[in-house]
Amino acid sequence: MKKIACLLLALVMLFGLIACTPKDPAANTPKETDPPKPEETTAAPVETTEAPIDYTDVEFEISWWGSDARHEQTIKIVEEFEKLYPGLKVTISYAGYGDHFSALNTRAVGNDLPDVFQMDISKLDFWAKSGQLLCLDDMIADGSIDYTNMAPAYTDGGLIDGKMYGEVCGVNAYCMFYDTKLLEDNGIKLSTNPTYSEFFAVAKEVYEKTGVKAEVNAGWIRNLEMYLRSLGADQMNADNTQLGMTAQQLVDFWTMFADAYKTGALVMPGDFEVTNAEAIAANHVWYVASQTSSLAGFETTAGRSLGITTYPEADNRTQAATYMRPAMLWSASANTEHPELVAAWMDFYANSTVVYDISGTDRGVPISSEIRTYLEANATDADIRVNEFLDYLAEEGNSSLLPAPTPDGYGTFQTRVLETDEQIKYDLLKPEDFLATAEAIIAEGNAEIAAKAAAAAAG
Amino acid sequence: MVKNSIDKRVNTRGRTQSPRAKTNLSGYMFLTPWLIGFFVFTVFSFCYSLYLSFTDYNVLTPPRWISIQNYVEMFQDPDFWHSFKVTCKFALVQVPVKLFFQLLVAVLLSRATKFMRVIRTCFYVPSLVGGGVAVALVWGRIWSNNGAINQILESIGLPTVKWLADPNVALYILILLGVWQFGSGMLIFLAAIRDVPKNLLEAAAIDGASKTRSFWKITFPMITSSVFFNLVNGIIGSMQAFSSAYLITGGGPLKSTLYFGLLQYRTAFQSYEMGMASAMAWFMLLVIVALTAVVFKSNGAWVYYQDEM
Repeated sequence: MKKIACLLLALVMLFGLIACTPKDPAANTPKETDPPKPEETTAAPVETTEAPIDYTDVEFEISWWGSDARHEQTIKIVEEFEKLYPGLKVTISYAGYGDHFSALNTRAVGNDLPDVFQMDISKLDFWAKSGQLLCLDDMIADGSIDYTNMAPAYTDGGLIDGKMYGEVCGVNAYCMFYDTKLLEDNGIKLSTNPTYSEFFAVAKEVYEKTGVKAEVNAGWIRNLEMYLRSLGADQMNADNTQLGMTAQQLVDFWTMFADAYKTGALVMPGDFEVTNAEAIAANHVWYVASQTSSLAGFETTAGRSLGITTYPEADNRTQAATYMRPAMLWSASANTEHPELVAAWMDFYANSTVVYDISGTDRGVPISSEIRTYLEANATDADIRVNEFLDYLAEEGNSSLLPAPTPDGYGTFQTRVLETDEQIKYDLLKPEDFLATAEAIIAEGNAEIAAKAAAAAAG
Repeated sequence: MVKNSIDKRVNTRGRTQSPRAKTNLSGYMFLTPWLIGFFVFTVFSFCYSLYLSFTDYNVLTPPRWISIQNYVEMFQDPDFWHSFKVTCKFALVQVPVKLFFQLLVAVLLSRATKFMRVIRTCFYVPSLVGGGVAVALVWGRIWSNNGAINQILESIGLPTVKWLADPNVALYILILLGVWQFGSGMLIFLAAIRDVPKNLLEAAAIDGASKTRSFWKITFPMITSSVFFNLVNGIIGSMQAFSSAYLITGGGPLKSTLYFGLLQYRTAFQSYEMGMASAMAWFMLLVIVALTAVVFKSNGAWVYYQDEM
């Protein structure tokens, strides 16, 4: 009896061990740590959609970040892609934004990056310069990735030092959403491109009439960025080596907000702990920061129609602050074993209407003019408003150039901006100390950027 | 044929192998799966992180040797000392409070009442659901400005408090979360209390000792080994605190809940400074070792082990 029990137990443990082996044994085999191969000779332009080659044993992985809705859509898109390659079974992985990049970092160390993965413009510079990304120039040049319908303005977001390291999925713009009905019901108007004076006046009026607040603060780096850009400055200077703002500009920015916080019209710490969209639904806020690609999702969660404005800009503005940027990109691992499938995926994603039948503009407004025309026929109301806003931006003088990605080390300054805002909100930092603080954090930020640049040069 | 002594057997090569050595060998062979895991995942990582703490490593490019620069920078960083202070404060409050509740509830439960099993399970459930993400998020919602606690306070006419938005209060809410999960320590105390020889307590009762007196003079001294165990575990666990701050307050407000572990996580995964994060890890290791060494050294003075009579 004991012997049978022992045998059974051993068998159970053995099965457990087998069940725990990864689905993809080849994914664990170490790849060589060679310098990045910018391109491999693609397996001949035989890779048409009618390729009779059997892909059953091919291991190809695609990884992305997003919400549940996006995950479901992307899985369907991958299935459509698989139909073009008989026997192909793409391994997929997805996570939230932070986890996605944490996982990519870990896998990069093990030389085990997915073949294709979602990339964010803020991290493209870092990843491209570390040699982990496949350069797409040759595949574009020989037509494996068909960019005949792409205007450079739409695809240039993927360029680093003149080389293409990511395919732009779609473009969008940073913008603000507001509760149209709340403002209409109270007879309040908000222009599409407000100044801070106009915005603060509107916020105060909304708060006094309805008690609903605006989610705008001095800690969110985007607010600072748009403020500076409208004055002709920016987060970084022209050659991206030092911070691009003066201490006085920071002081003016904080002074503006310090006064506004006192009116109670802006969201303060601890006011609510839900997402912005949920907060709109619960009538806690009427004005939130977001980007155009999120409009549809926001409206669904918020349960109401939302209007779009640009970020508020400085009263003494000299130019438009908003810019069109890649919502996200597809990048490929420099060590991929299937560059031809990478090209096929990029081409499929950019040019196939079925992708946009499934996901619409969830990843931004498509880069292909053909697809944009195709979508106009079936555009939802939200899409139409987004397109109107982007058209408004595309008009002369309503938007400006995409800035270069902020360099390594910028995060320190960003953290200090957030911390200073907290101190202002808790009334721990007085206006007379703003100048000293501004000078201190600019100096600290510059030192950190210089240190990181020196380390990169030495390493 | 010469009869060999019982203790030795000679194999064909003439070497002797005592049965004890043979048992040891098979013991080690059974251990090899665990040993392999231990060496690969623990020992190797341990040593590699020590090496990394002397390098500048951002994951995507190979580590670059910079000798003690990480340590120098670390000791000059005000955030480092602040988070260390916060973590020490956290441990200093949580460990005694948690021990107290563990002991209190264990004593209450040690009286064999009818529903003891059910009640015991109820007290244990919070630690079962554990340091999980879901629990932390729910805890955050309960204590938020519009959360359940404030709603209850409002409904009975008491003033509400901005629990998680007030820099003086937020840390205590997180400590409370840890204390609420006292179940496993409580079970250890419960078992220890049950182990106290009943004849001692009966003798004390006969001699006229009150319940309280017999607890403090007999029961408590005899369970000090469990107190010691829970104390050491408590210290190690609370110095390594991370998830409650990460999930609920993000280190705020005004860095009042910036645990050392959270700062380390940000250094590693947001600033991509793996070398610095490794240096921080080694600093914390040495601190925890020092603290537990102190506790261990003191155990001669106050801990009683049943086998020393």
